[in-house]
Amino acid sequence: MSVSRIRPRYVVTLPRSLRRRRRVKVGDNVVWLPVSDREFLAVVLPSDRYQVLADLMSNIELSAEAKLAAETSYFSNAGKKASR
Amino acid sequence: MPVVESEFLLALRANDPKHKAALGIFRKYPALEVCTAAFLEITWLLRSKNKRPNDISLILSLLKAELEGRGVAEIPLTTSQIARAHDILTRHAMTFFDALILANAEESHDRRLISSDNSFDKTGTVDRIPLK
Repeated sequence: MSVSRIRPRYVVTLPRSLRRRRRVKVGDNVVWLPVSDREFLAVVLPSDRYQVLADLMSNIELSAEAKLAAETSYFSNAGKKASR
Repeated sequence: MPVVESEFLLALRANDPKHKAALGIFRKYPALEVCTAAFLEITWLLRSKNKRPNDISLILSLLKAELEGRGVAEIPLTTSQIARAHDILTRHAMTFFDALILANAEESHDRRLISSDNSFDKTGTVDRIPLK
């Protein structure tokens, strides 16, 4: 566990142990999601987000045929799970 | 302000044929809205390709961060819109998520939808701006 102090203008330094473990780089983005009054979930997003999106969604297409096939497949599987 | 949907979200990929057009939309329209239904459609497309939940979570976070960073407002999905989507489906041949996106976009301020998909023209309830 690491502890950081909130400095003026609410600046917080990411602890070195986390920086090393997660390969966080200057320029990356952090998305803050509120969890409770005193808890946040911080998601680190890489700065080259367009390329990351390309890598993660490399085989996704939006043609009418692809959408219909995926919709049929997805709802069919969801129906099977619900009927178990 | 115009509304963007799934096609635009996919065009944020660096290698997408419409990537430059999507960045051009950011420049042309300083104020945009995005359909929550488009995030649902992207999620469903990813799940149908057996993408891992943590990858889907990262993709949605990346898309949301990009849009929030550019001040794009999200149109929340409501029960009325889900009912409206099914009303659209009874009258027009389109996929469930297209109907949901359309119902979602109908709630926008000026009902202009940025999309190359002409199936959104069927109801005549939104003006479509092609993404090009």
